[in-house]
Amino acid sequence: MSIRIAFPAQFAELTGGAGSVTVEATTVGEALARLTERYPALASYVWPRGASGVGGRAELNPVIVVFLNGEDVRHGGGLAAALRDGDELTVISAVEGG
Amino acid sequence: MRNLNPGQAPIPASVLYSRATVDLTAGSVKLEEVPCRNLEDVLGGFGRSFQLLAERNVTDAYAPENPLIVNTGVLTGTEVMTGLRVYFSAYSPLKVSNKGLPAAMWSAGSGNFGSKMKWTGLDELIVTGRSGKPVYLLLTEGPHVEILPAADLVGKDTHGKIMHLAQKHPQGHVASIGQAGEAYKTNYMAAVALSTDNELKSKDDKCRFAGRGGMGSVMGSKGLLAIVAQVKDKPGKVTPAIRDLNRAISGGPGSAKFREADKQGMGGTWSNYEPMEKFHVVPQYNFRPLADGKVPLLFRENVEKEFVVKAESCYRCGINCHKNIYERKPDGSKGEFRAKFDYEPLDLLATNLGIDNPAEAWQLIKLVDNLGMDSISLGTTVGYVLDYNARHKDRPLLNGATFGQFDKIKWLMAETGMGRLPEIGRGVKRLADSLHEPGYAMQVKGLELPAYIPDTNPGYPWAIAGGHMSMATFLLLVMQGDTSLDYWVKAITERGLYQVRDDLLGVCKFAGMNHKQALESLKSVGLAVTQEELLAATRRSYLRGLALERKQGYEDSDYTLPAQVFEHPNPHLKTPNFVTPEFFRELKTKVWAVFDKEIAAL
Repeated sequence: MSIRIAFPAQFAELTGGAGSVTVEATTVGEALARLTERYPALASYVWPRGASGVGGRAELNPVIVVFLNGEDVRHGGGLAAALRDGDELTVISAVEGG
Repeated sequence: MRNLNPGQAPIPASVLYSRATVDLTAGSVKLEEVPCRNLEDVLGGFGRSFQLLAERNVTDAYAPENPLIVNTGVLTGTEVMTGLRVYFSAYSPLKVSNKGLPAAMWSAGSGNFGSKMKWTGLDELIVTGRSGKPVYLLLTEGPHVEILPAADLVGKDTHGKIMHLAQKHPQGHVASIGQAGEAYKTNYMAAVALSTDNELKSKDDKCRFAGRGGMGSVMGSKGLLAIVAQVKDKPGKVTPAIRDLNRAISGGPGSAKFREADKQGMGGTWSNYEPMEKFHVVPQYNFRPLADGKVPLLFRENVEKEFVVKAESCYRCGINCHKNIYERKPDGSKGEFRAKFDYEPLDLLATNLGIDNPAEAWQLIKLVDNLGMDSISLGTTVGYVLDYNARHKDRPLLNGATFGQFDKIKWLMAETGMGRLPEIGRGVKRLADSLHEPGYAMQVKGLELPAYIPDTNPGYPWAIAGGHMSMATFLLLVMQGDTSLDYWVKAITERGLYQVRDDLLGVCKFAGMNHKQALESLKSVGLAVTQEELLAATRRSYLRGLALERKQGYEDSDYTLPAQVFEHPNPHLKTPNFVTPEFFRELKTKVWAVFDKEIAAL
């Protein structure tokens, strides 16, 4: 499935300025794994410390929240949530200053 | 501002900004158009004000020659979402080098005043001198500036002054000080309150603040109690490009953190509590997290059991980042407005002081807002007093208040706001130095720290204004967990400093604009700027901040962290203890190796 992943400016700094990417994936977890494979600098944001490989990434870094088509994935299947063609993921930081 | 070559790459000398210089001693006003010297002059904000401050020699923040510079960014007053910021810059009475010289600072705020000022035709206001009697300034379209008597404002709190002036000047918006600013001699941490549409319509005390650095105290020292910008609103044309940009800003990932859940958001900075508590890094008991399970008492889900929380916004902003607390009536509906719960004031005026009850928290936040003080500086200084008293039960300070003692804490804040407690009003550095116990005073370079513990942020010493709003390293350990020297050198010298970009442009950091969106915003006002040019102007402006610190006597010993970080690591933290003296020494060497060269080349 072709999935668009959008992320905020602080992540865009680590992706050469790209504010979103398109990946092929069937679940939320797989899409995020594709994201961090393409941009390894994002891995430490997205996955907990010490997680490596898709099999080891069973949960998100607690400072990250992911929305699937506007709904928080924590309330709808989590990383195992199935994706359909054209779905959009938004990855945001759960912490920000102010 | 007039650009004689719109649509092209800006030639600074062809961009003229409108300046009013007011001498309150002489009672004179001079209006002029000033050509820009460089791109940062064109963009505005502190990019311009710090260049002006560098031209002045100021050794006393309350001297008449210390200029208070009020200006806007190039996007203030435009149709770009969050284009409404206004900046107050001066040499600060609060932030001071170990040599005792005041540091240059700016403080930013939202609300309607900035846009109104821009719509009068004025880009910049410089106030020098001192009025013998209380006055306020009236800015009207032209631009015109009048100095008017303000005897009837004396003693009113921030909201009282705003409502009085708003009634007197229809279609005007206000920047004012509270009693704390009037008590400038003993209160160096007064804020500037900025009126909002919501405030004027609802008559609730819902102003915004330019809080940091004591800019309200500088105003008070000049006898300047308020500034009113009175002009009809001038909404611009919303082109399809601006409409699309604003949709991306208000609905995209950049501002998601600050929106409500029903708009795919995280509920604002208040929601920092939960993820940060997982790491036990939410400040408690003077920046010493206890892992005692009390932080969740102020999680939003718990506060909502007792209060109604409503997300509200600044003028025409679709992000709605204000989380306003209202009384919950028996039928569950919204009653009286209580206060705004943002992460900084909520932590530093409550959790960090051992206050875990939302009914007490809102009273403290409201009190501090109404008196017109910076929540961060006041909360951090009071935290020190409570800590000192806990350590010295035999010889406590002031009323002997310690953590959790709401009535005593409230008294300390009220008395400080009225100017009766210079021990607190003059800030934590002076207090701690006078007591010879500086190790647990949460300040860096003389300015109190925001609500992010220094144990996790060795980038603090390179913040040139507010500790987190001018250097974006304060959450990196929690976000990425990297403790390597190389990572932190890059975090400071290549990434964190660009946090100040929006304080040139006149937009709110909560818009979370990426560089592409910032460039589109500039294009919408006729400025064709490349990303390289924008980042270079931002970097130069930041470096000027460091250069200005050196001008004011900052030396190697000023660039450090509270000694407690090095000497007494907190065992409760779930983050690595990596900020050792050795690490920090190496970090300084490598960071200065980068910055020294660039500062010399400015």
